Amino acid sequence: MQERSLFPRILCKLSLLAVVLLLSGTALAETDLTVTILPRKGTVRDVYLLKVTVAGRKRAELGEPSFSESNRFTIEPSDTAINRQQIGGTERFQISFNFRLRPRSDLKPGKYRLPPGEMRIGDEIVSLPREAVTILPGVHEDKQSVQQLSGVGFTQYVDNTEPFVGQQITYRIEIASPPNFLGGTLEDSELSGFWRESFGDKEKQTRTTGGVTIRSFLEVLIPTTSGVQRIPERYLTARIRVPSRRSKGKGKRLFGGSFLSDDMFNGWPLLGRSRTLTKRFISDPLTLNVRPLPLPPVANTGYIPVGSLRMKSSLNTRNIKQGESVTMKVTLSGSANLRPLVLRPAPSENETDFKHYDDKPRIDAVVEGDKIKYSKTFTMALVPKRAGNLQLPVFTVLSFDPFLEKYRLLKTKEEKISVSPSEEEQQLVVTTADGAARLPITEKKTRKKEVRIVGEDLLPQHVGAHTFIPARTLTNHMLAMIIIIVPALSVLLRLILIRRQELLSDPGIILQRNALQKALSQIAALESSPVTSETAETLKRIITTFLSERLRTRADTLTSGEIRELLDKHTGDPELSARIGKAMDWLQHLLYASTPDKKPVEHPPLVTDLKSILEMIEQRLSDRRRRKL
Amino acid sequence: MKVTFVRTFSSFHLAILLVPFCTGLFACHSVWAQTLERTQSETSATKDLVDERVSHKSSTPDQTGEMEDGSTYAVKGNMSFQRGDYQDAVEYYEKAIARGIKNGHSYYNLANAQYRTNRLGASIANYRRAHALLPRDPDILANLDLARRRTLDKIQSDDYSLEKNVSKLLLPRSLFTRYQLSVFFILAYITFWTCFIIAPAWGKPFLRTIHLGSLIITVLLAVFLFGTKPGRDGNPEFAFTKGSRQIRPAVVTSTEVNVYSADSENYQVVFVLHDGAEIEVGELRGDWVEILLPKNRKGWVKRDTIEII
Repeated sequence: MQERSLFPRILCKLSLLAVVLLLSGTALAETDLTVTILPRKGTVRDVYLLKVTVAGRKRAELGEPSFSESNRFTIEPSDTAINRQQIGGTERFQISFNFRLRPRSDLKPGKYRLPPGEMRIGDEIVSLPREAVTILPGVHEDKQSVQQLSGVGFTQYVDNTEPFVGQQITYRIEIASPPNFLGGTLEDSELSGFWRESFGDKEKQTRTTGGVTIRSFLEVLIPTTSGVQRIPERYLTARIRVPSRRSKGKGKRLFGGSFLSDDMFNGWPLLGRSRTLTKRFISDPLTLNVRPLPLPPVANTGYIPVGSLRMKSSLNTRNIKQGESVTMKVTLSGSANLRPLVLRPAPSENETDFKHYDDKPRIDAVVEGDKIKYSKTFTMALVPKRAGNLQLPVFTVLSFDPFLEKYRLLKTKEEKISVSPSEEEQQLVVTTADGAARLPITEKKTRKKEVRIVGEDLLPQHVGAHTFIPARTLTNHMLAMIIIIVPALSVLLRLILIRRQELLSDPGIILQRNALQKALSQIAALESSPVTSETAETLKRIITTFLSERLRTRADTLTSGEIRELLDKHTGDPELSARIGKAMDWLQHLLYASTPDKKPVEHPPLVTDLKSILEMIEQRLSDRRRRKL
Repeated sequence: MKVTFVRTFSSFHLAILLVPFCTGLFACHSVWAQTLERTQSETSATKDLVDERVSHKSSTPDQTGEMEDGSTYAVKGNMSFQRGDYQDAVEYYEKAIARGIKNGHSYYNLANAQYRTNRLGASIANYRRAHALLPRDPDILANLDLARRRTLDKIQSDDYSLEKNVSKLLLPRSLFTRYQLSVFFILAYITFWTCFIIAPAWGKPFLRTIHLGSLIITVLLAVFLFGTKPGRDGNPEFAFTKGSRQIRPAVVTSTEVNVYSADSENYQVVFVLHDGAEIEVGELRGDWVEILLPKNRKGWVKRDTIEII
């Protein structure tokens, strides 16, 4: 009974929990508000990063987060970062409001929650979650000591502390990181009174000296106002690997000194000998004395670029017709900031000869060493108002050289172009046949008109000898014949080819073909030696082997009479059979009648005779085969 | 011998060989069918020409009665055309063609003369014959276009995009004459079988490539040659079945033709066509012929009111 009543209750609770989770999930999905503190633990000397992040809302829908006064912390606004993402075709914003959280110096160790804070999200005022920061006891590290302990160096500096207004200076942040530096986040800060220019992909430079990696972040600053300008301190939140407390001998390690405590497992919880700490580093602020520009020598109301500057101009043509335009390009390049520069023609009387059409100027910023070199190209079309040799307008730029501390007036070249009259007014000169008289005729050329088709008709007849040649045709019967005969013929040829290949590769036929050559060469080897019983045996073997291979039968055991019969059957020549029989008898006689103490019977013509006999056998066999075929 | 055959021809090889064999059989079948059709058509065309000659015997310009060769008639046709005697030119050109001067130029010249005598349908039919023999000739295309623009009936083709796209594959067919394609086909066919003979003995790898390439080209050309027919508007169309091959293009040659719902004048007139209308013909029944138009429109007309191309 108890079990029965318990089940619906659990089910109800679970349903309620699911609804709560679903609702909270939906709410979070709409607007995601988080408050984070970095690092979460530290000393009273540390400056913490307090980050209020709102996702899913636009900047206009959000108010600035505000915190009530606290006797524990000082909260200063730092900067705002807007991150826009495109997820599945939907635009989603993530806006972070960054603050610097400084604990009071007399704060006792412990865990402290943030003072109450709120911010406007849409039409609602939302309370901020009160995250806690843990103040650790006993450690009073100053900035220097933190850097010394961790081995991380964090500095910022500029290459010129007394620049002129508008002069380019290089601002550099350097992080000297030892091997235990795992990574970090460099906070951006607002620099009022400076124009900032990025180094693009060369913004970050890395070099290694003595096991220390030095990461440099470069930026070009251009002061916009004179006087004392301050570059505030910069903050670096870094993750550093430090030796674990256990390794100092306090307590036992989980896996003792086994292989599991190897450095390979350092990143693993419980196994490594080191731990990762998050530390905040602060660089010293910089103070710059920005000098104002001296009074210009000529009245100038426009922007004056400060830095080294070069100017050049070019034309696309020097001869044009009236009504056409000449394109003039003026390029300025140098270290001075050219972005705000506008090109103005010097006032002159010739200026009225041209109509002036400006194109959008093109600006390029190229990194050269630790400076940015600007290049700005002004392209303009100048249309002459009249014909003749006309002076092009001259463009001037007043710049200030900070090294010489002098003004320079840059000018384009004074150039003239030849403008001929337009086609309508062009005079044509007709020369007479003798070339003496020249009659100037003024003629207005008519404009070309598109050819208009006024009628259409048949194209002409085809004539010529080729029109009498009947078109070549392939009769259907011929086509059908080819279609049938070609494969049949091919299969036949293929079979013949296969048969031929088989025959060529038959070892018996190969032996048959080479039998005579083989026998003759063997006999030739015996020609110089006297005919003894050994020679007789060899000769007999040569003949029987020749007959075996040539006639494809076993002839090695045959008697001279049987050989005679065999040859008579195959060659049909009784005389030849008789000769071979006689030769075989001789050999038989030599083999069995001769004795070692007796001189062998001389039979000089035997070898020669055998050679001719074998050749004749071959001849007869070939003739007979040919006759059969 | 049998053993050798079985050992040398693997089942795979036999399967590969089946493709050109089947192509060859298909080609033979097509050739046979076309021969029969052409014989019928030529017999009827010759009959028409003979009839026409008999009926115009008194006005035939060939008064001498001597048998002249085709080229003489063609020259006479050209001269008549130059003089502006277009009717005479038509007759001379027809004689030249009947005497064996069957080429694209003769049909083109005849079509021009017929165009001048306002025989629009006949001229379109002959321009299309000329185009089949000289497919890349720009004059023929221009004059055919001119003649087509003068026709009264606007017959729109079925707008089947798939069919149109597939028909684009037949572009090579419309660039070459039947004779040229036949020669290409024979060359590819012979190449295939030559490779079949020598490839195993020679054993060069590139021969296998040529063998396969020639097989593909043979099949393609067989499709172009024997699997297509000229469509209603002259563009080639696929025609693999006997029924589809029996449908042939034609042109209306009478000024106005009543199209009946069946093969008799007792039936209802379903629509009217005019001189030069390009149609397709299906079944032949005595003096009547079934005509087919796009969008499944059908009807019957008298045989002498149209000219089958």
